[in-house]
Amino acid sequence: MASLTEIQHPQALRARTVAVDVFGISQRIRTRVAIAPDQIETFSEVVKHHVTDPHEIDELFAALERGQPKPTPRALEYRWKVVAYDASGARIAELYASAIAPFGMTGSGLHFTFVNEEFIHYLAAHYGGVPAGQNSA
Amino acid sequence: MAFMPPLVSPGIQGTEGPPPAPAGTKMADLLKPTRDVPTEPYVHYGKVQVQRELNDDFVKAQTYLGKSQHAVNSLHDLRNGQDAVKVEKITTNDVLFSPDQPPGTGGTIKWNPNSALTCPDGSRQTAANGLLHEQGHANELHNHDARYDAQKAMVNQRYGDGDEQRNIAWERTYSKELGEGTREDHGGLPFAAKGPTSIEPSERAMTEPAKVRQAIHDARGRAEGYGYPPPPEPGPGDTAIAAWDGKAHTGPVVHLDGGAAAQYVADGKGGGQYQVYDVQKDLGGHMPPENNQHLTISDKGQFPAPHAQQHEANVLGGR
Repeated sequence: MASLTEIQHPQALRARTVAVDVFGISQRIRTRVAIAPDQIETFSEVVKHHVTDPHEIDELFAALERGQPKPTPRALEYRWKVVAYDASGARIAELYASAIAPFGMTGSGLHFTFVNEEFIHYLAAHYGGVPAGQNSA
Repeated sequence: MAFMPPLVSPGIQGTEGPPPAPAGTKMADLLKPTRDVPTEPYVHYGKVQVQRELNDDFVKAQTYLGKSQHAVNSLHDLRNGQDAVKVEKITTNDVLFSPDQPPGTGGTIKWNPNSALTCPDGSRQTAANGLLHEQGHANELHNHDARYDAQKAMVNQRYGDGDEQRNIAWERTYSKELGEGTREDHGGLPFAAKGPTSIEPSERAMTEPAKVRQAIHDARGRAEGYGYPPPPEPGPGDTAIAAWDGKAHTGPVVHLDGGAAAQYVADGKGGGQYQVYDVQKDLGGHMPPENNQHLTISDKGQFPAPHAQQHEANVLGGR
């Protein structure tokens, strides 16, 4: 599974990726308990996008790099999960992102903070969520 | 400098809950269906439409919740709302309110009538309590849609956002009236209970080391997410996790499921071991609190948690 360094500088990861799944849960959905990262993929209201267009995958990784993830000791609730697959269909990277704050986590549980909101804005704009501070329907 | 939200959001409004029902309104009156055709998939209570297969549990839950005037206010408000609110059954722990489904309605509550909750302080909440929590979101959307969105955009660590902070503040009020557990954040550990008004686990307590290890890992994530010191990661090897040895210990506790907790016991040499309590058998049915690095549990399985224990006694005694 990809390290934080690979996610911070994802060119090599991009080169191996042939498909991406983006799982998103709208911030408008209210829950009894905060959603844990391992719930996202199977959550009843999750929306899944399977991306195979190379140009779209390029854009996704470019947005991730512009987000400049930095290590952080804490994390909030996550509403996004992004899974990258290589040509054999193996999962080579997983990462999680919050919906209304610039927080993320690697698949191995390492928390990080995006220096800006480029990546979560990109996810929201392209995959149906709601960007930070713009939660009105 | 990375953005770090505050622990809680200042100036949150609406913690008093939905508007009061007219004086004299009884829960029993609100539970008289306005449309109940056996061939139709929903039973109607005014604008509240309950999936037929869920209806018996819904009525049982609301009747119990009626001990609190807040529950009467909530159901009266939804029943007389402008838009229909659906209540549908799920069997997972994804208890939620979806404001946008189906489109053009007042939203859908998805409720598991057996999904109870262990709060971080060790107290517990019934599945019925979770139904009222989600009704609170529907009430807020129904009465204050602009505030619903505005407070939802206010990020904080303990609740995730201002709307959850508002709703959980109200949850504390009605939970105390019901004699149930309370929370100071958006955390908690769902577990399967024996019914919508029960806090008794319906499954055996967790003992399998691999599951215990994963549950401790999850508990560490919960603590970090809410800004509490995380308990230690278990060490490698089979001896890192064991059943309680029956002795008194001091150390952080994590909740494993509805009937089991583990305490980290340091060995004084930089390492330690997690010891697993069967809450029913070892702790007299009382779940100890999380997020306390120095909790002492005696060799009799007792610990200082009068708040949680009082709630347990109220709910169990009130059934």
